[in-house]
Formats: sequence, C-alpha cells, structure tokens
Amino acid sequence: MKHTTTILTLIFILYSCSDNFLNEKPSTNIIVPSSLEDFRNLLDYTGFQVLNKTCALGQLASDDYEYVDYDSYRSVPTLTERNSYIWAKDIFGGEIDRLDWNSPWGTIFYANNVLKGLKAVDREVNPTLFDDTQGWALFVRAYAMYDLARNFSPAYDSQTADTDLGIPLRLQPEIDILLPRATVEQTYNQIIGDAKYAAELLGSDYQPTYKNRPSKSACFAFLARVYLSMNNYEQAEAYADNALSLYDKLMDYNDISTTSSTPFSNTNDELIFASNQVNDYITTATTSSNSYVTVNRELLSLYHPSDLRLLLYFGTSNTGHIFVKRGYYGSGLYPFSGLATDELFLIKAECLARRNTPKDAIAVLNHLLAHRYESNAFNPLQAIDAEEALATILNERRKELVWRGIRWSDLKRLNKIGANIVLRRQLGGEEFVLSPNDPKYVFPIPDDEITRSGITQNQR
Amino acid sequence: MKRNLRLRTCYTQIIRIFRCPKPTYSSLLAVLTIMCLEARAQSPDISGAAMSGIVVDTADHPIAGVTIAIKGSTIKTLTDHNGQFSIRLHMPNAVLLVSHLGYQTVQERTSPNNRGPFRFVLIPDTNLLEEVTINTGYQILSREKSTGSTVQIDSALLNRRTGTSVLDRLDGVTNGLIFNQNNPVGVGVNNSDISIRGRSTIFGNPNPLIILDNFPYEGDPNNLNPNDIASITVLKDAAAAAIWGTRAGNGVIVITTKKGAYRQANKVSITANSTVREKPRIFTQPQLTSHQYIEVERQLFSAGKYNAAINNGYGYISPAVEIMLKNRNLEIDSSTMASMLDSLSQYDIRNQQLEYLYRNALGQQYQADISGGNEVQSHRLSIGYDSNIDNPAASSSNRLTLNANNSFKMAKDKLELHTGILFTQGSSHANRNTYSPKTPYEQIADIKGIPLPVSDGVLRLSYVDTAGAGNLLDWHYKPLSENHPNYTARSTDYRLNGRLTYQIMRPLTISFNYLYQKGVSDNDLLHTADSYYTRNRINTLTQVNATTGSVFRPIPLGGIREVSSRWYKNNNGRIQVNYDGDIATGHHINGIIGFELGELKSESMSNQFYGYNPETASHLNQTIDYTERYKNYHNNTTSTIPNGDSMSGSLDRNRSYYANVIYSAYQKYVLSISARKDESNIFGVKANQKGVPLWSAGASWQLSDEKFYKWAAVPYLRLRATYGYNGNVDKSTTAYLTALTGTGVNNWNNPYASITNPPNPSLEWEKVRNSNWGLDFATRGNRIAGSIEYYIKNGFNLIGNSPIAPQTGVSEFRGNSASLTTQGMDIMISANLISGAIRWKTSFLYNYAKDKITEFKVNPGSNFDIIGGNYNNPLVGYAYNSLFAFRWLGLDETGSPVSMINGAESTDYADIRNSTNREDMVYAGSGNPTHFGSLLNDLSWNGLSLSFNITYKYGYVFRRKSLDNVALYNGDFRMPDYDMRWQEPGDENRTDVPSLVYPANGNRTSIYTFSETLIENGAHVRLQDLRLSMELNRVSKSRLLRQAHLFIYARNLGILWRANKRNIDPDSQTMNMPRSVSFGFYIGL
Repeated sequence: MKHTTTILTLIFILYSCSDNFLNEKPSTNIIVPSSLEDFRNLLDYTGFQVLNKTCALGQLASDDYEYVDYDSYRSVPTLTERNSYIWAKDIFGGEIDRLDWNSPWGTIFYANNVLKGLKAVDREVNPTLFDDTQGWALFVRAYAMYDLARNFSPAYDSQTADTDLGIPLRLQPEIDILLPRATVEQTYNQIIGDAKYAAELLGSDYQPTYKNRPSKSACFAFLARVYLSMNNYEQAEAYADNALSLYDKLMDYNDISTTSSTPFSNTNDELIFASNQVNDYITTATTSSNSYVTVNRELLSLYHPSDLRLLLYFGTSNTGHIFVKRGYYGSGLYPFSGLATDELFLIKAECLARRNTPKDAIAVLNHLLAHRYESNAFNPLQAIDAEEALATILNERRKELVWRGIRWSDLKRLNKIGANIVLRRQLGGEEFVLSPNDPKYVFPIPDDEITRSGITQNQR
Repeated sequence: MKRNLRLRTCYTQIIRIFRCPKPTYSSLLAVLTIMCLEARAQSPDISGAAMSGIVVDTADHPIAGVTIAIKGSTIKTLTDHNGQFSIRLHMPNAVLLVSHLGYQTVQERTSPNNRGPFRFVLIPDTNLLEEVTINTGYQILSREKSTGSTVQIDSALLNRRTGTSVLDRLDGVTNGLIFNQNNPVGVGVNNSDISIRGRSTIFGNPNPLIILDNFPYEGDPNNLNPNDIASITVLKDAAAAAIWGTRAGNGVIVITTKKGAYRQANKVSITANSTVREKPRIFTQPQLTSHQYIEVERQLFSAGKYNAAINNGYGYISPAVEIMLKNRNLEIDSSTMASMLDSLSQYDIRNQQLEYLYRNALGQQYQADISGGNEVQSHRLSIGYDSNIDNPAASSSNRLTLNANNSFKMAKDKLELHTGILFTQGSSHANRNTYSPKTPYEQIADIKGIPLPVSDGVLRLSYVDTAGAGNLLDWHYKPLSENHPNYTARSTDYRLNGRLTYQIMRPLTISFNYLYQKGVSDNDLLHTADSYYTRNRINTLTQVNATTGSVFRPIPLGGIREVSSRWYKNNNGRIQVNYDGDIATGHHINGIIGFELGELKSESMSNQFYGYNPETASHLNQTIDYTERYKNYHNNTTSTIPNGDSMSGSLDRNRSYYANVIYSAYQKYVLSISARKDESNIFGVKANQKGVPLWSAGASWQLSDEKFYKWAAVPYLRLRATYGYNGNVDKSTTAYLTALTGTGVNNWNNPYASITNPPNPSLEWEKVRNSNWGLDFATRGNRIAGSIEYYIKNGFNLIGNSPIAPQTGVSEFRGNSASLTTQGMDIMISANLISGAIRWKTSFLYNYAKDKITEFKVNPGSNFDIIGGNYNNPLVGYAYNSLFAFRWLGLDETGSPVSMINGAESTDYADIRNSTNREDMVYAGSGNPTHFGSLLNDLSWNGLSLSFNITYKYGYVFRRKSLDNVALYNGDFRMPDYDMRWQEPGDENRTDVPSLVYPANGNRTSIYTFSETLIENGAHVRLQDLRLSMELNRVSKSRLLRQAHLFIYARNLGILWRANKRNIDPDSQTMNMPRSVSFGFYIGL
C-alpha cells in the first residue's frame, strides 16, 4: 500500500507542474484584441457588412431610379425593396436582420470595443498612433450614428429637436445593456462632438492610400455634410472650407475612360473617406446585370450631352435599361456613399448662394463643372441672383451626387425649409405619392430591434 | 533503509542519464524505478512435482494452446501441438483448471494419489453466449459487467467487406449506427458521415469520437488498414461513453488493433484481394437528349438570351448557338443550319466520357502478418499495401501500412510493458481540372480519337481561335489533352504508444499509457506551363500596349504550382489505477481511477508559385505585383493576381480526471458509476469554466439467475438501465471578446481582424442527457439471442444562435440556447436457424431514431428559408433535418404552378416564397431515415459459406429532382421531366411539370422545385452485398495450412424494393451507384 501512496504523491507532482497548461490559445489566428495594431486591424474590417457601410433605404426610396416594368418590380426578391419603392407604411414586411439598421450598429460596436480597449493601452508608447486609432474609432462611430439618424429620425429641426426621437446613444461595447432612443438634439450633439474630437486627434494629412481610414479632412468634410443636413449653413461652409484647405483636388473627367465599366478606382483623387451602401438589395447594385431598374429618365434628361458624367456614371445594357456604373468605391457592386471633394464644392457653393453671394457661389460650381464637361464644350454657368444660383447648384448637386444615398437626406432637409418637392411613382396602373415632410420620410425601425429592445417605433 | 538508498541512487542516475530538467519526466521515471525494484524483490519460487497430461476434444483430436492453471495461484501452462502439457505443483493438493476458449472448463483436484498423467476431454461450449469483451478505451470489460449500450464488431464481421476504409465496414452491420447518405451537403451544412443514435447537436461538432488503441485518433480514419483491426466497439449510451466525457456526445467508436498473444506459436497470415468497380453509371442520370437541348437553345436564341454574350464578342455560346448565329448573319442558309444541327444532335458526350475519361476501377489490397508469443513476450508485425486505380482515368492512390506491437511480461508477470508502432504512408493522384460537358452533344475527340477543343464555359471557341493576334499563348482548351494527374496528396502518419502495467498487489494495478502521434500531409497541385489552366490565367491578364504593341504578362510564363502542407502532433499521457477483484465472496469490484493530459498541435501553410519551372524548381513570384489591378484581356473588368500564401496553427489541450466503478454481486446484480471532469484550453474562458464534470450511473439485473425464474425456454434474461451525461465541446465559442485575424487583406490591402465573439460570460459546454433501457435474452441452446434497447437523449445547452437586439452591434450570437431530443430503439436478434452440417445463421437489426428540436430562439425566417435549408433554420417541434415543401395545387391553365398564401390559391411567387405563415407550407417528413436496419444471413456447408446482407430504411422522404426552369436556361441539361412539361392548355390535367417560361423566374421555379409534388418516400430495401467463401483446408486437410479460404464479394447489387415509383435510388439520387466485385484469399500458416 505504501507504493500506492508514493504513486499518488507523484500524480500530484505531475498535476502541479502543469498550471499554465490550459492557458495556451487554441488557434494562431484568434486574438483577444489588446494592442494598437489589433484595434487598427478591427477598424480595417471593411470587407463584410460592418465597417464603412451605410444604410441603403434612402437609395431605395429616392427618385434616382424607376422600375423597368411592373413584372420586374414583382420579381424583386425582397419585400423591403418593393415596399420602399412605394413608400409603404410598413416597409420590411416582417423581414429582419436588415443590414440598413444592423451594419451601422456593427460599426458602433467595433468602435466602442476599440475605445474601451484603448483605455488599457499606454498612450505614451506611441502617442501619434494611439491618437490616430482613437480618432479613427470616434469618427466611424459618429459616421455610423449620423447614418442612422438621417434615416431613422426626422430631419433636424431646432424647434423640435429636443423632443424628436434620435437613436440610442451606445457608447459602451457591452451587449447586455439596451438603451432607449435619445432625442435628435442629443444625437446630433454626440455626432458633432465626436467628429470634432476626432478631427483634433487625427493627423492633418490627407490620407492618400487607405481611403477606408478617416483623416482630419474627412472629419471636416463629414461635419460640413452633417451641418448642411441640419440647415446650418454657416457651420457647413466653415467646415467645407476647412476641409478644402487641407485637400481640394478634383479629377478631370476628360482623363477617365468612358468605356470602362469601372471608371473610378477606390483610391481616386477626389475620395476622402470611402463607404458604400449595404449589399442587401440587388436593385441598388451598380452593374449592367441589375436589370430590374433603370435610372430615372427625368433625371437623365437634366444632363447636357457634353456632360461627361452621362458616360462615366451610366451605361446602357443589352436590354436597353440604363444602369449605374461603379462609382467612387471602385470595386464591389454596391454604391459609394462616402465623402469626396466634389460634395464639398457643392456644399460650399450652396452655402455661398444661401448667404446671398451668387457670383462666388457660381464660381465655385463652375470650378467643379469644368472638371466634368468635355474640355472644349463647357460654357461656364451664370446666375442673375442668389435664388437662381441656388436652384442651379441644387440641380447640379442632384446630378453630381446621384446614387450616393444623399438624395434622401437632401429631400428631407429641403422640404423642411419649404422646397415642396413631391415624389410620384407610377406602378401597375397605380400612382403613389409622397408629400413633403410626410412622416414616411422617416424609415421604420426593423421589427427585430423593436421586439428585442422595446425602443419606440417611428410612426409613419 | 537499504532499499531507500538504492532507490535514490537509481533515481539520480536516471535523472543524470536523461538530463531531464522537468520534474514530470523524472517523476515518471521514478515510478518506473520503484516498480523495477519491486519486481526484482519478489522472484517466483517454483518447485514441486511435475504433472503431465493430454487434452483432447470429443473427437479425440489433441487441442493445442489449452490453459492449465492451478487454482489460487498464478502458475499456468499451455498444451503443445500434440495437446500435451506438464506443470509443476508447489503443493500436493491443488485444483487444476483446464480452460480453452469455446470449451467448457474442466476442474481436476490433485492429491498424492491423483498425480496423472491426466487425460482431459473438453466439451464444446455452445450453451453460453460467446465470450465478448467490451473495450471502452480505458478498460476491457466482459459483456456481463457492462450496464451500458455497446455494439461489438469482431474482425470476422469487419472482414466480410473489402475496401480500404475501416469505418465503411460498419455500414449495415452496426446496431444504432447509420451512414448519412441523405444529408444535405453544401456550404454551411454541419453534418457528419456517421451518426450514432441520431443527432445530438445543432451547430456543434456532429462527429462521433474515434478511439484507436485507447487514445483518440486524430488522423484520417482512412489511413487505418482494416486488416489490422481486431475489433470495433461502438459506445452508444451515457454509461458506456461517459468515460470519454465531453467528446462523447455523439457516441464513441473504439477501434482495437490486433495484438500478438502470449503462449502462442507463431502464426503467419496472408491476405490478398482485388476489387473491380464498374465505370460511373452516367447513363442512369436523366438528362435532356441532344435533340431536346438544341430545341431549348433554339428557343432561347430567338428570345435573345444569348445576345449579351454574342454582342460582347467573347462570351461563351455553344456550338449549336454558333450555327444559329451563322444563319442569322446570313453566312449559312436555313437548310444547312438544320442539317448541321441535326448532325450535332446525333452526338452524346457520355459515350466519349465513358470511352476516354473513365475506366473500371481496380483496387488491390495485400497484407501479411506474423504474430505469436511465449510465456513472457508476445508480438505482432504486419505489413499492408493497397493500390487503387479509380474510375476517373487520372486518379489513383496507394497506401502502405506497417504495424508492430510487442508485449513483455517481467517480474513474475507483475509488470507488463506494451509498445506499439503504427506507420501509414499514402498518396493519391488526380486531375483537379476535371472536365464537365457544357452541352449534351459536346465532342472532346474526333472519330480518330484526336483531342478537340471545347469552350471552358467562359470564352467562346470562335473567340479563342483568333484572339491575341499572335500576342497570346494558345487559348484552346482540349480536355482530352489535359487528362493526366496534376495533383498529388501525400500523407504520413506515425503513431507510437507504450503502456506499462504494474500489479501493485492483487487485485490492484497501475498503468501508464503514453501516445505520440504525428502526421504530415502535403498537397501539391502543378499546373504545367502548357496546361490550359496556366495558359488561360496568363492570357487573361496579358496587357498589350495598343500603340507600341508591346506585350506585358503580369503572370509570368511557366507553370503555376500550389503546395500546401499540414502537420499535427498529438501527445497523450495517462495514469490509471485499476482494481479488479472480489471484496467478499460473490461481491466483485472493477474500478478505475485516472488522470490524463493531452495536447494536439497542428500547423498548416500553403504557397503558390507563379512562373514555376519544374526543371530548376524555381519560380518568379518576385516579379509579381499582387496589389495592382490588371485589366482582363477579353473584357473591361480588372482583377488582381491572388497571392496564395497563408499559414495557420491550432492547439488543443485537455486535462481530465476520471473514475469508473462497477460493482457486481453474485454475477446477478451489477451497478456502475462513472464520473469525469474535462478541462480544455477553450479560449478566453474563465478558469473555472474550462472544465465540466459529467457523470453516469447504470444497473443491470440478470433475472434468469434468480431462483424464482422458471422460464425454461429463455434461460438467459437480463435487464439494464443507465442514465447520465455526455458532453460536446465547441471551441469556436468563447466567453470573452475575441477576434479572428483575417486570412487576406481588405480593399486597401491592409490586414484586418473581425470580432468573432462578443463577451458571453455565461457560456457553458453542450451537454447530452442520456437514458437507456435494455433487455438481453437468449433462448435455450442460444438458438435465438438478442437485445432490445430504448433510449432518450436530451441535448441541452446546445450551442445555437441566440437573438439579441441589433443595437448591440450583433443581431445574433452563439450561445447555449437550443435543445434537441432524440429517442429511439435499437433491436438486435440473432438466430441459428439451422445448425448441423448445413448452418444458417441470421442476424436482424432494427433501429428507430427520431430527433426533435425542442428549443430554438431564432425566428427561422421566411417559408423559403425553412424549405430551402431547414438544417440551418430549425423549426421547433421538428427534426433537425426535416423536409418542408410549398403546397401544391397543381398547374393553372397557363402551365404555371399554383400554391397557397394565407390559405388562398396564389401564383404570386415572391409572396409565397417570403410568406411567414407556416400554414402555407407542408411538413413532408424527416430527411433522414427514422427506421433502418439490416438482415444479415450466413449460410455454410462443409467449408462453403454464403453471406448476404439486406438493408432497409424507411420513415423518411427525399426531394426528387425535376425540370428546373432557371437551371435549364442557365445551361444545365442534367435534369429529368423535360418531356413531361406543360406545353399546351389541357396539359395541366396530365402533368405537374410547369411550362418553361422565358425569362426564367426564380421564384416561380423554386415554388415548383421545392413543392410537395416532388417529395418522394425514401423507403427501400437493398441487397447491400453478397459474399461467397470457401475454406480450402477443410477440403485439403492440409497440416501445413492452419486456415485458407477464397472468397468473392459483390457490392451495390441493387434495390430489392423501393417505395418511389420512379426508379430512383434514395441513397444515390443523381445516378446509380456503380457495382463492384472483389475476389481474394486468406492463408493462415
């Protein structure tokens, strides 16, 4: 029996020498993110439906396009596409897991994880990279929150912003916390505050290669876009100026192949920050095989024959419908929705017109258009007054920023200040109308969010 | 004191010799040392009188190898070839026990007056059940001691079948085990080839655990040579499998290799067999005739379907469409076109496939082994070689296996050392660029057999004829010129194991087990410089400068070679204390307690070399810019050159503590209890959650041994019941935030990482609660014997996708959220129908297994999500693999399918597809057989035996293939029912096959292809195989040959009965399985 004792003792020795035995990680490609490099890798996760993605509902509901015919409409796979087109009261028809809602929240989740993780990193080891990472996370969080706000909340109105429902302001990564919706005022304060802080943290360089990563000029360009959507022209112009002072390059469309189906690369010269619309919907795809829809004929008629945008933005398929070519995102089928210098010039021009300096406004516009027309065919535009200048600029804005998911928030903000734009669609012998400031300008929140978190649904 | 000194000296010496820094090893060695000393201290004391005798059978033939033992001592001997023995007694009054497997044991009391020589006559033992032992991988138990549910497959049953795979041989003969031929396949499907007692997980690991000689086998089970296998034990319930803890949730298959035996003269055996399998039966797969397909193409041509491809100038169009285009371009007139199309329609590519691309497969298998042993040592050595040429003319494989094991007894049989080496080397060759015809009338060779070019399905033949104007490599694809192997896979596995067992004191032993296994596999795919693959890749990206005419090839000239390799290393150690003895008269304890450590480490990497030159083994990767986007030569899209370099590694570590105690009283009552705790390096889990304790308990009662039991017709009756838990580990889920490094780069060429798991602090391991009730019986003379078992398995805490509000950033996360219940029955009855000169033995298996999802928190989505893939979108209340279908209300007067939405007839196909009203679809049945089994018959007469196995499956449905509008119009011609389609009003009364519409409507098509009208009953009865063998030495009475027999074995002989009226084999729906026949011999010397 004494041997048994010895043996049992030895078993204990064996056992005790393996304390760290179970602490090795099971796979080389699994990490618990802890270093700056890990966090930056997380923020670089653009390939799937999380980062650098925006909601596509605004595109689906906008007047950029129309269905080829009723049969094409009927054959579209998702109810969301069909219901969005006719501004139905319930657009999801029970469809859940909509990336329109989920992808921005995914971005916010990633950003919050990074921001939380950074608290455990010593900034002093590499302050520049630390600040850049923190600024990056703050920017993408603000960008995603704004994308949610512009689609799922009413347009900013200083009169009602204190009571209008914004979005839940999730600033922590923990998934066991559910938040109610904040007000629109709180939401925009958070977005603007984050973007301004990110602008301080991010380096002043215009980011030349990695267009999925924000830069200081991206923060300014984003703030210009946000302020414009709030109809705050003073701030919008100031931030457009800030951004353009850092970087103002325009591509001359004469230098770009008009026959290519992918005329723009994802590192093109106008690109400041790249994002694209979620790829849930075949009808938003920028490819000739998107045969369901054709570009709005009325919109097409606005382009001058020597306007190169006609050839660079659109193509005609074998079956005769007009499709959209790949935009500034370069690769992938889903439309560009990011920030670029052309939008900044348009913001600048609009703000100049709105503060009654039509000449300056038109000059800015002409600078842009000179890069858009055939070299020898461009006659600079003119305007007799601020009102005409504004109308011209808004017209050019629509033509320039087509299929970029901007039209919807433009409709919201312009109708708010009395533009009185009525949308109409003919379908299967029926007419559908969307009046200005209709509650249907605010999309409903998908059912899975409502049932699982109990936040307040939008009334349409 | 003196011994202590010796011990220390010995210990330090060993430490010095091995220069072993780790206390682990030195402790082990110390234990060995102690045992050596112990062993030496007690040398045996053999003295006394010798007694001798002879042992014969009832026919007076001497029996060799009979054990003669002295009761109450360890002294024993064996009879020699002449049946004679001699043994020394240490006391005059002893009891001799004369025993031999298959015979009744004889006892003889010796006394000074009774000292032999003896003559013992052994009577064959037919009244007892065969001595079956159950190897759980931790201990070997007699069946009587096991309360759990197990199946034992001996080598005779394993060797009924031929072929290189071990596990295949379990098919149709293993109670409760099914090969899942009806499982869905494809991306995201989580399935196992084999299920034991149905399904017990949803998204966790579905595979049974495979144990080879006491340790989990981490290599490819196909590397094992079936001829080396002595037996396979399948552990099915908690009591049997709980000893394997968290890996036993799906059942355990314990494989035991053959070993040498002590006190046995050397035996040599040689086996050889060849198997011929016919060419794939491609003519049994329905397809449109060439004539019909040209008719379809003609309609699509008129409808403008091919215009896009025609207009872009390079896109693929078929030979028939080329002819139609010529006619449209007025190059040929209509009658020429008609005759050209007519001559095309005479061809059937399947004839050429059978002639040039397929051959009869031939498998050859050889094995030789030698085994034997004396009093203190036993050994077995085997060598096996398999060589297969496969049906595709470029495919072949071979395998070499070496297996050696030795056992030594030392120190008066108190110490036993066992060592084993298993070595496997295999390689296979294939052509990875397999050819698939684009049309039924395609031709890959002309009448003289000279290779003809065909389109690759991307580029038009007439385009590649002229493309490049001399700047490109030949762009023609000739499948017949490419029909040679370009892919080689090699694998080498070594497995070394050692076991040291020491008898501390009767009946207590301690054993140390150690296993080291290493495997390396290499895959090598070489697209030579002249292969179409390489020429196509180079041409596609070739950049020709329009002004200077200069040619730049981003992919350099030369071959393209892709190599990948993976190695794994498995280390396992185990210390176990065993107790096997009586604690009082009639009360027996059989117990083990042990501790185990294991580590499995693996690493894999792959590389791709462009511009590869096999002569110099050099490549030109350094000239490649992987980030640049190049324009494709034939169109305006751009692409980058993929970089095929990657690397990854994994590490599994396990630590377990276990105990199992079996108490039996008077051999009538048996109680068993087992407990096990497993810990593993699950990533990011808090230390106290790395382990899980699992336990089981069981009892059995041999009713027939009770005094009150009077049922003479059934002299053996035993009841069993067990209850307990098994587990299932899924290392992909973790409790902390974890991220996965991406395998490539993002759109801006930066590496990325994705969050794989949000924090989930409450994560637990999957558990399966298992209850089993069994009844074993045997009638008088063992004429009919069998068992009936009923079980319920409740899988709970199953890893499922759990929904949470999307505002958290994750709409679903994996957690313990699902439950699944499986219940069923396993019945086995074997009967000796005729015994005598002609013997007929039959065994009948019947299994019933039905699973049901009892909890699943995610809404499965639209009806189409469920119908199209219920296994990914399980519905509570139904089986994991259930078939659902759209309701079928026939065809309307335009030949369009009519289904239902919200209870009303509808042809709004998108709405039907997207409906979430479950009333709009029907539950068609289980996709896996719920009832299955076999009837194995063995007839023998005078050395000739005939064995055939009839298998059956029922209680399930399958979805038959039919005319698929979308697939047909996208160029797939392999489908039935084209003839049957609706063509004119009135046809709706005779057929359910919808009309073809252009453009094809995906929703309309799927409403039909997933409708209830295409659901077929899967029930069938199959003659699985047939084996005829002849024992030659019975005929020749040769003394040299111990055993010799010849056999013929035939497989896939056909279906005897099926429920479906369409002649579809439910196990092989696309085409019938090829028949095969084997012949071979076995010689034992």
